[in-house]
Amino acid sequence: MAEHVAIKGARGGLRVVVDDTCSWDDAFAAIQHQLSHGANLLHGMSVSFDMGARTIDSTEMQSLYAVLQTYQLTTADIQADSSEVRQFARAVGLTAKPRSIAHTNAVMPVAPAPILIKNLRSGQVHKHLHGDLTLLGDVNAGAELIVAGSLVVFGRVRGLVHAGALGDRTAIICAIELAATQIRIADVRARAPEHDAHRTPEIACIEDGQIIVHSWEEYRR
Amino acid sequence: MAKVITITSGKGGVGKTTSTANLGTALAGLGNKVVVVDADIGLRNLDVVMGLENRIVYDLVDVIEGNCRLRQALIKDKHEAELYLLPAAQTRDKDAVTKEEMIELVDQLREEFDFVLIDSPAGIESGFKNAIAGADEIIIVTTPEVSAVRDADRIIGLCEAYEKGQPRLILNRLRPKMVRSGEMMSVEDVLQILAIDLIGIIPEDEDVITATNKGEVLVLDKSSRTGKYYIDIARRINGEEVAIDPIEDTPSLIERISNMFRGGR
Repeated sequence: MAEHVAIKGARGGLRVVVDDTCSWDDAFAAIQHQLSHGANLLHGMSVSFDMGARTIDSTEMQSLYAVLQTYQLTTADIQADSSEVRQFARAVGLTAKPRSIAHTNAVMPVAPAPILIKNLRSGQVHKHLHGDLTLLGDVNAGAELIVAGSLVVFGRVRGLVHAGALGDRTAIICAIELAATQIRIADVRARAPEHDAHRTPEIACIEDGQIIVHSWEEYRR
Repeated sequence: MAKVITITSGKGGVGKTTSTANLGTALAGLGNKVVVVDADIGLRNLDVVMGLENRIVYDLVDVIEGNCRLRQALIKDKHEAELYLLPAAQTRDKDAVTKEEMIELVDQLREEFDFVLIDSPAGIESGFKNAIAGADEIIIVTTPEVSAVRDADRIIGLCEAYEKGQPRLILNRLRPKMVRSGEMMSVEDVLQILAIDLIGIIPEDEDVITATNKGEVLVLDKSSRTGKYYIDIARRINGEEVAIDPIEDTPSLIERISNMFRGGR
C-alpha cells in the first residue's frame, strides 16, 4: 500500500509522488497512511503533490482537500498533467501547476554526509533530508532529529530520532548511548525498552519489518 | 555602563527570585551599584523577598507608560546603600509591555548602574521573551530534578535561538545525602544533560523559607552557608576566580562552633 505514494526530497521542500496507475481508492488510502506517519517530517516544509497523469473528479479532489486540512497542508500545491485536475484543485483553494519535465527527472543531489556539531536541545527539531548524517553531540529529551538516510550520533540520544524518513527501510541508527524515547526508521516505530545504566554503543535497524537494536559488537558479526 | 543579566529557568519555583535578590545584594556588597528588576508582571515576588513591598509607589509598567519618571519608581534597599529595586506591576499582566519597551527601559538603567539583574517569570512565552530582550547574559536556575532540567534544556535552546549566547547555570536545592543514596540527580548528571558552564551550587536550606517570609536576604546573614554560596557566585559574576565548593551536607564541627561564636547578623 505504501508503494503507491512516495515522499521525496525536492529543492526547497518535499514532493509527495502519487502513483497514477492504481485505483484512486488505493492511492487515497496510501496518501492518508503516509500523511499520518509523516506528520513530523512534513511539518513546516513546503509540500507538493505530484499526481502524474491521473485524473480525479471534483468530489475526489474535495476529499483530498479535507485530508490536507487535517494535516494542516492546505498550502501544498498540486502538480498534474490534467488541466481538469488543476482546475478542481484551484476550485477548493489549492494552488496547481502542470508538471515540468525538469521537475520529474530531477534527482536530489546526494551531498557528502556532513558532520553536525551541536547538542539538540529540548524542543528543537532538526531535519536533514539530503542523505546520511553524523551528529557530534546529544539529542536531548524533547528534541527531534529527522534524517532521510542513516544516522550516526556520536553522543547520547534521549529524544526522538527518525532515520530513513523518506521511506528508506535500509537506513540504520547508531549511537553511543541509544536511550531514545522513540526510534523510527522509515514508517516503522519503536519505543525503547526500559534500559539499565550500563549501556554499550548500539545500532538499530529493521529486520523482518521490526526495529531491532543490536549492541555494536553484535552488529559487527 | 552596566552588565545586564537575566535570571530565568523555564520551570517555576526553582529559585529565580531568591537568587536575584541574593545576587543583587551580594554584588552591591562587593561595591557595585546594582538594580534588580522584577519582570514577572502580575505575579510579582521580588519586592516581598526583599522586604520592600510597603515602599512601592510606582512600578515598571508605570515607567513604561510614562506615569512617572524612572527615578520615582526605583526603591532603595533597606540594607545595601547601592542596591535598588524596580518592582513589577501586580494589577496588570505580561501583555502590558512589549520587547522594545523592555529594551528601552534596560538601556536607561544601563547608564546609571554597574549591574542590572532581571528576575524573569517562569515559562517560555512573552514574559520570558521580554525579560531576556535586553540581556547581555543569561543565568539559568535549575533544581536537580528531571522536569526542571528538561525545562532548563528548552530554555538553553531558546537562548541560542534568540542569539543570547550560552547561559550559565546555578544548580539550586541540592541535597548531597539524596545524591549519595542515588535518589537525586548529581551535579554531573545535570551537567551531562545541560552541557553548559556551572556558575554555582546552592544546597537545600530551610532558612530560605524563613528568610523569604521575613523579607530578609540570606547574603546579609554572616552565619548562613547559603548566603556564602551566593556571595561566591556574585564574586564570579564580578570576574573573580572562585573555586566551586564541594557541598557537604552538614557543616563541620569546627564551622558550627565558630558560627555559634560569630552569632547571627
